[in-house]
Amino acid sequence: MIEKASMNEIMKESPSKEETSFSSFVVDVRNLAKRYGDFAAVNDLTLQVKKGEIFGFLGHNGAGKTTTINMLTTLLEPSSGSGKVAGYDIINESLEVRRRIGYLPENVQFYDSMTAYENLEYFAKLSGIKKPDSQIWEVLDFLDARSYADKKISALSKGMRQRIGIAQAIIHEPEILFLDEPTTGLDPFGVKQLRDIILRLNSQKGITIFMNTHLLQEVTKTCSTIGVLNHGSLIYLDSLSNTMKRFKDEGSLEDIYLNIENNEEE
Amino acid sequence: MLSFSIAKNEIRHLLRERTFFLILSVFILITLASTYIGWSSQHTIESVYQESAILLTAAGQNVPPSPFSNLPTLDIVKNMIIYIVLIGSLLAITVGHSIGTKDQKAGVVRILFSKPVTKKDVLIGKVTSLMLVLFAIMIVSLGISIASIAMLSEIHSAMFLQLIGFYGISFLYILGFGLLGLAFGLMKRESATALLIPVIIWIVITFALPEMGSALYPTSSLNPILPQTNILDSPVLSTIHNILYPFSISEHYKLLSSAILALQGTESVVSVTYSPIMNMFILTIWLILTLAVSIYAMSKFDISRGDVYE
Ligand SMILES: Nc1ncnc2c1ncn2[C@@H]1O[C@H](COP(=O)(O)OP(=O)(O)OP(=O)(O)O)[C@@H](O)[C@H]1O
Ligand SMILES: [Mg+2]
Repeated sequence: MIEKASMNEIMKESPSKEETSFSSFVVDVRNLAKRYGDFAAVNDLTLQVKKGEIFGFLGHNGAGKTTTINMLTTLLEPSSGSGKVAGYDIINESLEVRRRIGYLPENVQFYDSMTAYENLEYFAKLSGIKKPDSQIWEVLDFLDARSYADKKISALSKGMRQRIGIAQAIIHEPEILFLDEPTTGLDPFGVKQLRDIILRLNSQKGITIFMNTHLLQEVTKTCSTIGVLNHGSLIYLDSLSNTMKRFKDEGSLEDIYLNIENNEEE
Repeated sequence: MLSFSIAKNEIRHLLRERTFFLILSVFILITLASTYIGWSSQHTIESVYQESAILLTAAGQNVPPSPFSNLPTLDIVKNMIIYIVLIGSLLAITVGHSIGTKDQKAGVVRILFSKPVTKKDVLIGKVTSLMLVLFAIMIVSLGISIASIAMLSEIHSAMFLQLIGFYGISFLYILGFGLLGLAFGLMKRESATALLIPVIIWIVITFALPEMGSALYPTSSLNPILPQTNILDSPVLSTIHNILYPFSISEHYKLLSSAILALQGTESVVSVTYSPIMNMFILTIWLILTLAVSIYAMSKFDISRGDVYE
């Protein structure tokens, strides 16, 4: 007993190299794969995302972006490989992972018969917040969405719903926020506002962002790191500054992105 | 604690659904109607009897005893048994279906399971809300029955217990159907199939099995206390009957209810009958099975499913 206790103390004082490297990565997955029969939706994905980053996950339709997010948010069990999100194993410690993440699905929806406030209250309680009232108003203020609170979800426009979607994802102050194609269906003004919100979440609340998109300009405007997924495989991974240096301007990066697509499709 | 929030949310959602209120009001109306019909038919025959008794006495003839003189007062709720079998169970299926499909129809499955909730929390929450709602409906029905009996004739304490027993059994019976509605709501991706399968099971249990199980009598499934003549002389029919009888859950419910309400004419003439304890045992098995189906459905539930739901 005594031996074990002192062992623990030693472990605490000098964490192994492995642990230090893990703690600076909010997402750390190794050889992650998802197969449907013979078809590999995601193939051998090894990826790290550092704390505080805005990671842009770029890929064509059907590349496997949503499948990847589903695995990282513990909604889908990988066929093989392993990974940690917010320091916890996505397979064996899924509840611990879920406590520390926020997730905005593609085309977010809510209980239509309930108001925005009631929806937020319900999801906040499920996140373990016993009396969520003050938190609800706080995030609504942060998102400039206070006036939506008493509206039925069915009465909200796509852009308003998107904000409530973000509100439910951040109300429990997650370490990392997963956004699946957050700009889909928003007008240019809405896209701009969303971009500002993402940047503020990152800088003011210190939330790491993992964002799926198939729009290149989205990534270059908001993200600090870029990953490109092509038919289930990660084919590019670098910081935005390096990428910009390497490709000089957005146009040539787009050329490369499109060329990759075309080459693979052929 | 999480299950409590989930159950509360399910109930709130149900209370905001118009269809639920529609079916509930139909059920309440039927409860009222059944007692009234039971009372009025009894009342009509009774007054005809009184008149003929007067005529008979005037003619100096013997007056036979009233046909209702030896009937228990609870006879006027006997129609409720049929209404539970026919409508109560359907109501339970729709409630279960609504609870089972709610999250998918709303398209919130992925948000829901991105929160630290387990499938077990969600299932417990859903089953709890189903039980509470069906329980509340039975309480309302019980109240209506007690009130109308008290108004139409006199009521005494033993009858309270009988009625509570009857509605308790009815609760268990319809809960099974509610669980089926819930289970197939979770299992199927299309609302139509999810509703159709439990309804087919309901048809089999309510009509097909009793028809084949008890004497192949067209009306026997509808009338719990019809004295049955034995047409099971044919060995083939009686074999079919013996095999299917244990599965005729509605029969067991009807017999048990009649026994609890001490209704007359329940003695079945069919070749196999079970004691009330056996009836109760089969109802318990029914509940355990339907609960097992719900647990299975939840274990297979795809939590990464998107917003496509028809
Ligand atoms: N349950 C499933 N069964 C079979 N194949 C699937 C399943 N889910 C996804 N797929 C396939 O996996 C591939 C990746 O799908 P995914 O939704 O991850 O793509 P995506 O990158 O998010 O695309 P989009 O930009 O269109 O949202 C697609 O080809 C899809 O058809
Ligand atoms: Mg997608």
